[in-house]
Amino acid sequence: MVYKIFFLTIFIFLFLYSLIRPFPNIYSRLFLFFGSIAGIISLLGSKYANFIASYIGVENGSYLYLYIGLVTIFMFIFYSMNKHTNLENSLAKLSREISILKTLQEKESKKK
Amino acid sequence: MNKRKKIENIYIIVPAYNEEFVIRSTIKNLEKYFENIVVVNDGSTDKTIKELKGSNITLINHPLNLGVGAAIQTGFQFILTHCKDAIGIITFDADGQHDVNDALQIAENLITGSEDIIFGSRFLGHQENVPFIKRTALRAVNKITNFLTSVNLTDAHNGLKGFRKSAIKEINLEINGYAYETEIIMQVKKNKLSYKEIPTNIIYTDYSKKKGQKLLNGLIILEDLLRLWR
Repeated sequence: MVYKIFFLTIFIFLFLYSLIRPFPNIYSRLFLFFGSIAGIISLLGSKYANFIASYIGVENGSYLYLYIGLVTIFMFIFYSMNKHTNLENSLAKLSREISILKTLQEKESKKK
Repeated sequence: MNKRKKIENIYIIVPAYNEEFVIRSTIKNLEKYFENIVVVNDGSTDKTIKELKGSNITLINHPLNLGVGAAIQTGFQFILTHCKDAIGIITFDADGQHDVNDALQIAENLITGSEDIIFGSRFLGHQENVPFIKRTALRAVNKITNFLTSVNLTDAHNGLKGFRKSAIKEINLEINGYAYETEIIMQVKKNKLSYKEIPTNIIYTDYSKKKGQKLLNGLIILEDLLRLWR
């Protein structure tokens, strides 16, 4: 029971936090918003999760959480890879500018 | 000693990463014929920079290893913005696999011809120099590249190429790794650039075989290709 209250408090805190925290995009807010709701529902009892699962047409609540978990993992990997590529490209551009500038400076100092 | 006048308006880009054993001889061979050589040291951790001391080249040092595509793009950007006399650019690998005579032929094509890009091809006359397994893998990657880009080339992944300066302005490389060659071909198609292929030699030494692209790197190229294609 203590653990249940502990996790419930965390999910409620996350839910409220998702409402007030400034996010860089709407997807991050929605991710935390729905994630915390899913966490709260899972802790309130299996009947709520089972009810939602049967409403959407999934066998039971556990499967629903499994599917949501898998989709979230793949979305996270995709998002991270995309961000990694963008960062790599920005790093390449920055390095390029620095290295060209340095070369030009060296050329100038040689002339002098 | 070669008395031939050096070519001044065609710039050579040599991307180099940990090439301490061959870079000096590669540059020495190029220096006989080309006045302007730009070496892009892609974050080498060996003595590549030390080996280049005393050479009449422009050295650009990447602070970290970014990849051959990024090194080529750095060379392009430098020449486009700071070398007003350039009319063309040739990319030439640092590992000693390419023949300077082929670079000269590409330079001649850039000076007298009208094509925007000259692709060197290992499969137009010198294919016997390419080891069988490598040849088969290259042909497979080539077929996929041709399918994805709709540009028909016999050798999509040869580092020896020539570009007219006006064509470089149309090309912006975003792939930092080996698949930059395919990105170039995609941009050829997109920007309707004219091109031709000429036969080039390839010299596989024990060093270049050890240092060059591993066959499994083809898988990384395919990953990059799919990323470009989406």
